[in-house]
Amino acid sequence: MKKLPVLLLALVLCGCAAHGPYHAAVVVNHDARTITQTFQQVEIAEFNAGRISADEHRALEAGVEKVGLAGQSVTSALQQAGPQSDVLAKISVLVQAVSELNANGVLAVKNPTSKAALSVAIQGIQALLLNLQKEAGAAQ
Amino acid sequence: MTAAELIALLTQIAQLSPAAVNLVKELIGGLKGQSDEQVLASDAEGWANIVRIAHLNQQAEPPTAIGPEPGKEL
Repeated sequence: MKKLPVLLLALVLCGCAAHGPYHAAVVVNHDARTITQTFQQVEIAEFNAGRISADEHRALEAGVEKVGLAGQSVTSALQQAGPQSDVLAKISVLVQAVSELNANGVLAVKNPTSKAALSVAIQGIQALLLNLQKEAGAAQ
Repeated sequence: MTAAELIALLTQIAQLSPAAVNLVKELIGGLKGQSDEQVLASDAEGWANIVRIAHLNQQAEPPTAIGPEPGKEL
């Protein structure tokens, strides 16, 4: 029953042609990348609109860069379909990078509208990463 | 997080900031017919673009917001 949400996600969003051992994790990784991209575009739009300061913009993009590098590392591990321990270790680095982006970037944003939009995106990324850890850990 | 929850979350972000609208459409469009290999190749490129844009945005002095090329998805 606990697998139902992920199966639904896979059915609705994927229907992929060829499935590897980490198929469910691949789908969740894709969603996490899409929401991170959303976060970045929202951040840039808020900065362009003058609601995020230059210092806040730099801190947020520095955090996004770390998240992106960690995401690349997770994607590479999934492409190699290597040991589960390796995939899980790389996901842990990604989880930590998102936590730092929240602590050092999002929570410091002064404009309430910008902060609300970025907070919703961060919560989405964090929820997806919990799914990613479960799916990578359950892969056979 | 279910697919419905994910789309609801993105819709919520889009209501707060219209910049997210295109990505909501992309996510709803889904990954139909793509192999894991194809999805991962696309995501490798997507993460690399996120890193590139984040890096450029930190380098600019004074900072200017640099986004994806017009008309091109990340």
